[in-house]
Amino acid sequence: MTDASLSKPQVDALSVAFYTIGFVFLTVGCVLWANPLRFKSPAKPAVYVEAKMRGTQPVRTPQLAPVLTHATFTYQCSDCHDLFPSSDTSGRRLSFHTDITLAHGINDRCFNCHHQTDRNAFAGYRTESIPFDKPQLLCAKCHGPVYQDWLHGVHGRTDGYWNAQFGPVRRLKCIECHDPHTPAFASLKPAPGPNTLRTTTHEHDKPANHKPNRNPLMIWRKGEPQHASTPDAERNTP
Amino acid sequence: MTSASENGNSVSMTRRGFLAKSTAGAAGVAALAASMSPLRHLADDDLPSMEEFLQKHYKEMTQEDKSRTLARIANEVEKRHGVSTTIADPAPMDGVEFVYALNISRCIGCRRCVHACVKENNQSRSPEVQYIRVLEMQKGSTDVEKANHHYNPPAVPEHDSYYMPVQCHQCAKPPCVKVCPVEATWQEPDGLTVIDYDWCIGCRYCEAACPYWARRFNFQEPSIDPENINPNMAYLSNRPRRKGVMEKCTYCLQRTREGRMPACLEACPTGSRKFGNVLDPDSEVAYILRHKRIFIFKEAVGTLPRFFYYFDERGSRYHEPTAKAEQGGEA
Repeated sequence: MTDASLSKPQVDALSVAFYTIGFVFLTVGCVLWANPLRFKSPAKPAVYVEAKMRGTQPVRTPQLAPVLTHATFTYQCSDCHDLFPSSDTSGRRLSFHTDITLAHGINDRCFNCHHQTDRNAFAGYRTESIPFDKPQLLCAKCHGPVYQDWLHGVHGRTDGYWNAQFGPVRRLKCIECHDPHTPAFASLKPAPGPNTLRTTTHEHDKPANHKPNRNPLMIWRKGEPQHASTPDAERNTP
Repeated sequence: MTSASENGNSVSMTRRGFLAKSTAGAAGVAALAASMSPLRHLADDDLPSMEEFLQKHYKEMTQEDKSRTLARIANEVEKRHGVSTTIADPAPMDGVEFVYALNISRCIGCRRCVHACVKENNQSRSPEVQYIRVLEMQKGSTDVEKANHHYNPPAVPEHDSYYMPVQCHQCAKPPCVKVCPVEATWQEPDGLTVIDYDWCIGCRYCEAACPYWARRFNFQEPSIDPENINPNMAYLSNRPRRKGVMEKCTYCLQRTREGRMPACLEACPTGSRKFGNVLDPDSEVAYILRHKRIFIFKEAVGTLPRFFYYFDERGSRYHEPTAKAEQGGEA
């Protein structure tokens, strides 16, 4: 009887509340300390592109001089061509310069651009010659509007400073970007695309007959299958 | 509590009650400690120093304030990234208003500009931050909704696409500046809209206001390899940012205010990018604005951008077929 009368009032609501609150606090404390829901960043690992993907070198580095280096010997064009004159009526039948692919519009003769008698120069309008270090004058014979653009810095890259008062300004010459024999600007491998936090890929936006249209703002589609690793393969499938 | 029980107040405090209360008390202390436990992960420099905390707004700084701040930032950069650097603060030049022009009929979408910009301006590599977004557009359309910036073919350009790089347009009426609640971003006299990264509170209103999606937010602490850091830094442009601030293209202010060209222009293999002082009638951009056909992206929103797309009358790519079927037929 005494036991019951002593113990009964002790198990009151207050004690139960204290026990419960204490237990909850302790549990929460343990959970917070253990930190099981650690923040996992959705950021992708860093992509460092190779230096050539952001290099400032022009596409081509032509010599701008009538020289040819072959097996450590350096020749002037005339060294050979004075001995072996070529016919201006024949097509290209070459044992030398076989690396040259000529795909320059209707031009199918060397002498359309190279001077027939002055082999160390380009051909001018009539018999005059254009030096090798001024190829723009040769190109201007046919590409007048582009030459005008180039003169004003609209076409082609301008290196250096945006005003000559701060430093040297160099305008790249035609053949520093265009191969004169195959002048179409060569296609390049694109540098890696964006890989930002909110960017997901959206296969389902892609109409069957066109390229994927991926809206980076559609974050609710994040759970859908990724295909960023194989975009080429998918694009090539009809 | 022990003193209370020792004082003989045994009627109100039984042994069991004491145990219950002390357990609850200990648990409470433990829970408090646990809730503070994220503080364990704080690095030394995660909390701002008193000097940084009391730093004034860029425009209110005196010359001494500025040099002190620049020295402090250089110190912090050295501590955090292990790169010794001096932070410059080039002033805008008189009679200069920077304008960008981009030849949309010559761009081949090779993204060289994107990565040159990332390197020059010390953007975070993971998570990735890029100021320039090159849009692959369908030929015959200017619908940016159908543009794709994740294109990754083996070689560009592709026959049925043209490419439109988009970056900050440095608007003359910048909506991003208008919405900033703390004036952490403003337009400089030479037309560049800049951000004081120490003043930005990271509310991202400017990102929402920009019609060109030109502003980027640092959702995480930016990470850059020390060997990839560009030590030529300026306060308003490419000094390393912290988590929780906005950043954006400044036309490479640290270069262009010294007369050099922006990094994206220097990396462009096609020469599609043109930069200069539009107030100088002999500049390339002034000639382009006078003589070429200009396309102003989202002109209707009325932000008066200082970034212009232009065309050639005849481009090298005009003869290319616009559909795959045509190409297949020719082959």
